[in-house]
Amino acid sequence: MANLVYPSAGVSILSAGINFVSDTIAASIIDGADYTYSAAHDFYDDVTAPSRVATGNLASKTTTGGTFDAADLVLSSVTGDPTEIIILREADGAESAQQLIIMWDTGVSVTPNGGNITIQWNASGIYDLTP
Amino acid sequence: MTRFNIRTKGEDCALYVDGSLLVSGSWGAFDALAQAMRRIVRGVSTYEADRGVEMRADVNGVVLSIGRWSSAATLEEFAALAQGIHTAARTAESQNNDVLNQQVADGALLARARLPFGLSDNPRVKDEIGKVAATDSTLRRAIPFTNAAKIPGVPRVRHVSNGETLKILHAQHAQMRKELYGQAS
Repeated sequence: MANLVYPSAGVSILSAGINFVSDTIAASIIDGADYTYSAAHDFYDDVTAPSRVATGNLASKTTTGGTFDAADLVLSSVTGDPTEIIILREADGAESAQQLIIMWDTGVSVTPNGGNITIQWNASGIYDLTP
Repeated sequence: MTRFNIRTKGEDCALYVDGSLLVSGSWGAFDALAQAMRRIVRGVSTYEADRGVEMRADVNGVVLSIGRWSSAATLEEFAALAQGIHTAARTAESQNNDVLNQQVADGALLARARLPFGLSDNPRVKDEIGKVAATDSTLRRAIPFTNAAKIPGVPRVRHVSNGETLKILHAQHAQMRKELYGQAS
């Protein structure tokens, strides 16, 4: 596939079903050899456990002028298979209730070597919609 | 030492060995190749063959054959090549029109919701995302917004049917009534 928003997440975003500031938002790096995207995937339990290499919660979340922001995410001491996918999800409650939001699979490959891995949110992706 | 170079052009990929073209194909074919290579790297299989490509693993590493060309590599070198082919396949896939359209739609949704997550580094896609986020009527209704002046790009100009024009005027009228009288009727 390509970088995308999960269809079910699109509905949640449109209906304000996800609160990016008050909800726990997590990002996971995923082994693409063990996970195959499906448009029917909606919750984290659809992402097979062996494919999950590391995960972390977004911190320092703010909304300035309505625009969401968060600190870059550092995943510590990551080991495991090479990863080709990042999945962003709402991470409150059981895995069967954690809404998958975005999948990136282009240009996000990394091979863990036991060190830390940073997920840096791309500033150029921000559209300033505020007056 | 063998030097590999992988290039993409549109939706196609090409693998060069020491500067010479070895094989080219669609992103889908390269993606399938990368998947097969990763099965070898992970030890899921020791032999893969498809469409003139053959790879065989043993204790010394992997022998990769494409047509009449053949080369041996360590598992680490082979894994790096698999990763490169996978990345190229994804990059080429992102040039597909359907994928581009989906990225624009998804990106506009994120921009409208003021979520700073980009789906493409392609400047033309980002411009289109800005336009759609500013002008898409469904998004504007779902995520109302007071000022779209700073969205990159300009609104699109297009022909509309009489019926659609009436709908637009009706919506504008309803909005004016709502602002004047506090109700949408």
